[in-house]
Amino acid sequence: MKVFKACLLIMKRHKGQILIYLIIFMGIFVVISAFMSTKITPDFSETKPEFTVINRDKETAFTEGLRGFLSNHGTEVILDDKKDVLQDAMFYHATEYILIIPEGFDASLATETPISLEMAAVPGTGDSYYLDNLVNQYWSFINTYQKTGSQMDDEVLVSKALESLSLETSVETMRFSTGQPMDDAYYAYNRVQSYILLVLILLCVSSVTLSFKRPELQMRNLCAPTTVRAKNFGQFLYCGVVSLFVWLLLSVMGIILSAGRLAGTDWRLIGLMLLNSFLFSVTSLAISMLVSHFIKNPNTQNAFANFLGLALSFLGGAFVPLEFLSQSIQAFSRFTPVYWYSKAVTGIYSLTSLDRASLRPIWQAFGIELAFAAAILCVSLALGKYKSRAENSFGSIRTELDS
Amino acid sequence: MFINIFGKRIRAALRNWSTLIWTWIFPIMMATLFYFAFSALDEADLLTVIPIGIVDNQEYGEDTAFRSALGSLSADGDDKLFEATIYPSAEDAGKALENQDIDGYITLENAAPNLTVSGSGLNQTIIKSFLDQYSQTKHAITSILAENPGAVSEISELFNRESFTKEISLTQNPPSQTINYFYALLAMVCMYGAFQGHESVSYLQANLSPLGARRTLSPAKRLPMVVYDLLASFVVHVLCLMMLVAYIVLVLGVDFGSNLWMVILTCGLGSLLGIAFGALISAVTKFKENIKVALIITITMICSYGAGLMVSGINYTIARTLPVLSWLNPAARIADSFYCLYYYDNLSKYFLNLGILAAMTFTMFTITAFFLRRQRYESI
Repeated sequence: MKVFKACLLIMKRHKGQILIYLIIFMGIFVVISAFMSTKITPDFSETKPEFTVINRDKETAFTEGLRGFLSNHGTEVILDDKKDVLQDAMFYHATEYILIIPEGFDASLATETPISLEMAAVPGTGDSYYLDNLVNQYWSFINTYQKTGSQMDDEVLVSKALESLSLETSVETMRFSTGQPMDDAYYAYNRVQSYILLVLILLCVSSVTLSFKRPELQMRNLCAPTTVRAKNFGQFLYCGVVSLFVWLLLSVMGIILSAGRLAGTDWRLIGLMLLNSFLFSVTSLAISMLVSHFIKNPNTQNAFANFLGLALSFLGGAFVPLEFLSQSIQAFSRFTPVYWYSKAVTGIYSLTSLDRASLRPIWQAFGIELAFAAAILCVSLALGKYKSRAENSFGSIRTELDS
Repeated sequence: MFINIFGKRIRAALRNWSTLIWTWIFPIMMATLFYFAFSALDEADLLTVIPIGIVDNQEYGEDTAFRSALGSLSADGDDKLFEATIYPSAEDAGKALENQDIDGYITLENAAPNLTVSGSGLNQTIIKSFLDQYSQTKHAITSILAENPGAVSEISELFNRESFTKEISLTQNPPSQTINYFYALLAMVCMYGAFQGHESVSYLQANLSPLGARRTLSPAKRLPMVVYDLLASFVVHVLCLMMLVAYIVLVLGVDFGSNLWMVILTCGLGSLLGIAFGALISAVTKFKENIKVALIITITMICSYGAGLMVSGINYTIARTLPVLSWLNPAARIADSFYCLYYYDNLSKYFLNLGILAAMTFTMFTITAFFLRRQRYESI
């Protein structure tokens, strides 16, 4: 246990950088979850995309009716009628659809060739199609009522059109799982967790191996009345314990940060999420043990951790959902463990039932994660064996015999 | 003296592997990852054909108007909206919904369509919208004909789906969800010039490094020494940025607009700001070396976050809600300058951004100069 205690002591001296990573990660997660704090309702609710109406003509019963109708199906974003304001809002998706009522539009309605309304949107998006369809539906009704209802006031005409437009189809929501859907923020936390798990475990493991690799320390340890087996056991035990601790810490933090929103969620889904992150922490441990062989000094330690963590996480779909990655990248990322972790997270999130068929892809992803861990661990042990051979282990030592 | 100081500082900067990794290799890796990870992000919002199910009951067989309306939107062609599958019973359609083969299924009951879904989303909303329109049109026809039985020809317009809108474009270049990540990354690298500025000041101040102590004793004038040193830092960092811009533009094909000279000007001013920021942190604070580096990284990351490096659009939200904070964030100003070059037709806001960056740089250099001049040490 002396080696194990020494490992813990080394870790204690590096707790500062681990804390910095934890605090930054938690800070970013809190901000992200604040953006994702959508209210979960078990029943169907309409998606209400953002729209803006810029009226360069006068306010009439028609335009008021249009605003009211669109507001029932979307979220109005009020913007100034300035080109750069509209451009910015469109670029940053503050609004998905801008409808401009041009000057003289109302007067032109009575003529044979009314002026067209102008619309700006990101071409081809579902939101713009939906909102444009609503605008056309509204004016189509107004137009028809105008032509058929002679001597009708504009207000009466609009109220008649809106009465027809207020009819809604009944929607039944079919639930295939017992609990309510999993909270979006907890799902996002679990996806991004792969990055921080890998970085933290890599830093914890490499900090210790880096210290033990120092030639003078290595020579002293070889002289010590401890067997190599006991030394290796102590280090392995430390690696296992620290990985378990990191996993436990992040899991508890995730549950605490999402506590209020997980109340109705099926606990078996949360259990599967925890099992998935646990398996990934085993894979991360194997990766860390392999990578530690290549880390030569503390300066490259952070670079290694971040380069590897970010590359695997980006390619594996931790930051950007897998469906947004191109087909070629997805094909490549199948060879990374984060891909299978993310696939399992998404699979658990969208589980509708817990029968054998639905769970099969989840178990498959778990198995592949474990297979990655076993394969990487084998390579790491083989490399360790090779590196521990006398001619490799003290490569940086120079004696008078070398010259 | 210029060649001596300038050349040695450049050599020292190029031999500092730690800084080179974070300012040269790390941004190139990040840009590559952004490129691969965000390659299909803009396509995610595009409307795709929605898979729906229809329960084949007696009412569906008899309602020719509904079948015709549905058929017009499910026929092959550019306007195809639905991929409709007929199911013999609600159970079969329910099974398809459970397997996520369809986004929802329609059942005609009591002369009205009903929709069954398993969750909420835009696809489900569009299906509902189609059914709403069908019921609304039916209601309007009944209502109009009840009041005005002779208006049969006018009501045909309800089925015509005439478009009352015409699409206009607000800019020459289309909005993109990915491009701002690259701009924010460049802003971060500009601010990483702080490492060079910090190194320069450390090598100049007697209380910060043994080299600084030796140089303070040297018979060279202080001002030229500082200027040549910082100039070399600037050259190394601009070189790094040019390499990154060349990689992003030529290899990854990210659009920076048509004016590449303005992009280079922005990178130059951004680098100068980064160097001034690092020099300021190094000269003003009395912390240990690693604390100063941690401070530089933390401030840079916070500023980069505000510029949209981690969450695209956060810069816009901050600019709308806390405009002062946005104007004072140098990374946001740098990223916004690139955005102006790409997206705006006129460059007034771009030059306003450059003006703010220049003012920030000047202020930071002035404060640094105040701390660097006429220093005396009782003990080092």
